[in-house]
Amino acid sequence: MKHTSHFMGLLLLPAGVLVLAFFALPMVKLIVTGASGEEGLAAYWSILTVERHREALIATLLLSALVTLVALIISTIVGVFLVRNRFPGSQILVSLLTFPLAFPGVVIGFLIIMLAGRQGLIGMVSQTLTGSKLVFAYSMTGLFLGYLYFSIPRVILTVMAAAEKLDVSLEEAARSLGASQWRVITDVLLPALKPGLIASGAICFATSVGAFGTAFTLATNIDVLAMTIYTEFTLGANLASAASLSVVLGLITWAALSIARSLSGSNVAAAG
Amino acid sequence: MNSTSSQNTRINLRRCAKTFGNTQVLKPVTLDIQAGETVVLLGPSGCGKTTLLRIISGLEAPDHGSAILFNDEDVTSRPIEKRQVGMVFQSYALFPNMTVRQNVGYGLTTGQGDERLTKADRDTRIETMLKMMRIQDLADRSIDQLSGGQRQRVALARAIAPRPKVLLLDEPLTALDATLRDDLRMEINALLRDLGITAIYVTHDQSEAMALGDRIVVMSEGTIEQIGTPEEIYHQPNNMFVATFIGATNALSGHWGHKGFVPRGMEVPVAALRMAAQGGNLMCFRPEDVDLIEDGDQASGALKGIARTIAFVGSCHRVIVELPGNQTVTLESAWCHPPHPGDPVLFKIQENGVLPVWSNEA
Ligand SMILES: Nc1ncnc2c1ncn2[C@@H]1O[C@H](COP(=O)(O)OP(=O)(O)OP(=O)(O)O)[C@@H](O)[C@H]1O
Ligand SMILES: [Mg+2]
Repeated sequence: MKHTSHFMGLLLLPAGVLVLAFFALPMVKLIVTGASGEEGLAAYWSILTVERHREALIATLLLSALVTLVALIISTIVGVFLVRNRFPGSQILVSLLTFPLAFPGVVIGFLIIMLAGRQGLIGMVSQTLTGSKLVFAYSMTGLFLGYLYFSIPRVILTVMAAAEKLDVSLEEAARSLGASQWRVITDVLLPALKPGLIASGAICFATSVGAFGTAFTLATNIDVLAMTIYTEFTLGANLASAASLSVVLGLITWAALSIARSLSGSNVAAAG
Repeated sequence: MNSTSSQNTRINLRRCAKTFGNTQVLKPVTLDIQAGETVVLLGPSGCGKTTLLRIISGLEAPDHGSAILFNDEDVTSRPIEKRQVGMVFQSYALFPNMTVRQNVGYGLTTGQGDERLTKADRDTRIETMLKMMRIQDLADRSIDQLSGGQRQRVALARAIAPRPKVLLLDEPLTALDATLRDDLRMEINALLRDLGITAIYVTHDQSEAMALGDRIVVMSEGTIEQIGTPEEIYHQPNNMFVATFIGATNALSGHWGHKGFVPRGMEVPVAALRMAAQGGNLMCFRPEDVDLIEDGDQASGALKGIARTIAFVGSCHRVIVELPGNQTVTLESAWCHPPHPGDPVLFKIQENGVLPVWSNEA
C-alpha cells in the first residue's frame, strides 16, 4: 500500500507542476499586474470608483441578465413546444435554431449587421414601409440581439433534453386535481425544468458577461466590460487597469457558474 | 362516512369509441355504472382499457358520436380539470417538488371542487386523508424518501382528498411486489366500500378483478366481451374468450350427440344434454367442477384417463390427466389418495359444471 501511494505521488508530481505552470502562474501574474499601476491594489476599486468602469460593469451585468432572462423565456416556450409537437419540418427547425451554437462571436456580429445594420434587412423593409431606415445593430440593442442569438440555442437544447424526460402523467395528475394550464406550468413543468434552466441560464449569463467578439464586430464604442478592457489595453496602454478589470470579469463569471452549480447540483461549465 | 355525499355519481357511457390514426382501438362501448359501484376493466394488454379510462377522465377526447354522462349531465366536452375525477396511476405520478402533505393537499388548492374550503378546512381534510391512508408519519417527507407502497398510498390520498365524483385507477398495484400488492389491494377494497365512491379500476390481473369488482367488464381488442359480477363472469362466461381468460378452463373436443357430449375417442356421452349450452364441437368445464370416483365403481358417464403430472397446490391437488383420443385435462380436487404418474384416474364432470360456451374450433 505504502509503495503504491508513493508511486502515485510521483506520478502526480508532474501533473501538479503542469497545473501550476499553465493555470496558476498566469492567473497570479494577472492579479499582480492588476495591482502594479500607480494606484497599486486600489486599481481593483477603480471598477467602482472610475465612472466609465462602473458604468461598463453595470451595463454588462444588466445586459447579461436581460439576455439570460429573455433567452430562458423564449427557449422554454419553444423547447417545450418542439418536444410536445412533432410536425413536418420540426427536425429541420430544431437544427436551424441550434445552428448558431457553433458560430464565433465575430460571425454573430456580422449576422446582426446583416439584419439591423445600415445595409440590413430590417432597415430596407422599414424604409420601404415607413420611409425611415431603422438601424440598431451598432448599439446595445444590437449587442442584446447578438447575445440572444447565441444564447438561445444552448438553452433550447437543455430545455428539450429535460422536457423529453418529463413524466407526462405528472401533468395529467395535476389536471385531474383541477389544476389550470397555468398551475400545471408553475407547479409541474417549471419545477421539473428548473435544474436545467438554472444551469443553462448561468452559462448564458457568464458567456454574455465575457463575450467580446460580437461587441467588437458591432462597434468599438459599446461600453461593456470586455470592450473596456480592450480599450484600456490597446488604446490607453493601461496594463494595470486592463488586468484588474480582467480579474473582476473572471470573478463574476466564476461566481455565476459556481452559484448555479450549487443550486442545480449538476456540472456547469462556461463556453464561448 | 359523511364525506360521501358528493361522491355518489352515476356514470353512463353511450357508444364511446376512440380512433387513433386509422385504427379504431376502442369500438363503440355502452356501459352503465351505478353510483358507488366499483367496476373493473379487465383484459389482455392492448385491448383498450387505459384508452377507455382516459376517455372517462377527459384526458382523451372520444370519437364523434360518443357521450359520457355523470349523473345524467353530459360531460363529454368538459376537460379533465373540470370533471372532478380522481386518478391513480401505475407510476404513482406524485409531484417530486412537494412533500407528502403538499401532494395530498394539492387538489384542494386548485379551486375546482364543489366546495370552498378555508385554510383550516383544508388542513383538517389533509389530516383525515393522511390518517385514513396511515401515512401521518410520512407527512413531511419528500417523495423520494418513500417506498413504492407508501407512494401509492399518498397517490390514493391525493386522489380522494378533493372528493372527486369518480375514482379512476389504472393498474395501481402493478409496480408493487406480490405481498405488498395483496395488502394494498385489500386496503383499496375496504377504502372503496367505506367511501362508497364510484370507482373504475383497470387491471389485467384476473384475481385482482375478482377481489375488487362489484362488476367486471371483460374486454378484448377494443370491445366488451362480457359485463357481470365476478361469479357470473366465472360461472356463466359469454364466450370462449371469457371462459379461457378468466380462470383455468378445460376444453374437450368431441361432438354433441342427442344424449349429450361425446369426447373424441370415446363412445358414451359424459355430459348430459340439459347441462350445456351445447353446440359446436367443444365442451368446457373448470378444473374444480369434477367429482372423483375413487372407489373404483364404474358410474355411467365417467371419464377415465391416466394421471401424468401431479402437483400439490395447498388446498388441493392439481392433476393433469391424459384421456383417450389424445386429449389432456386439468383436475383440481381433494384426493384422499392422490394418484401417481401412470395411475388410472376416474372422474365425472359435475352436473352444472359445463360452461355455457361453445366453439367450432377443434
Ligand atoms: N396515443 C396513442 N396513439 C396511437 N395508438 C394508441 C395510443 N394510445 C393507445 N394506443 C393503442 O390503442 C390500443 C389500446 O391501448 P391501451 O393503452 O388502451 O391498452 P390497455 O388495455 O390499457 O393495455 P395495457 O394493459 O398494456 O396497459 C393499443 O393497441 C395501443 O397501441
Ligand atoms: Mg393500460
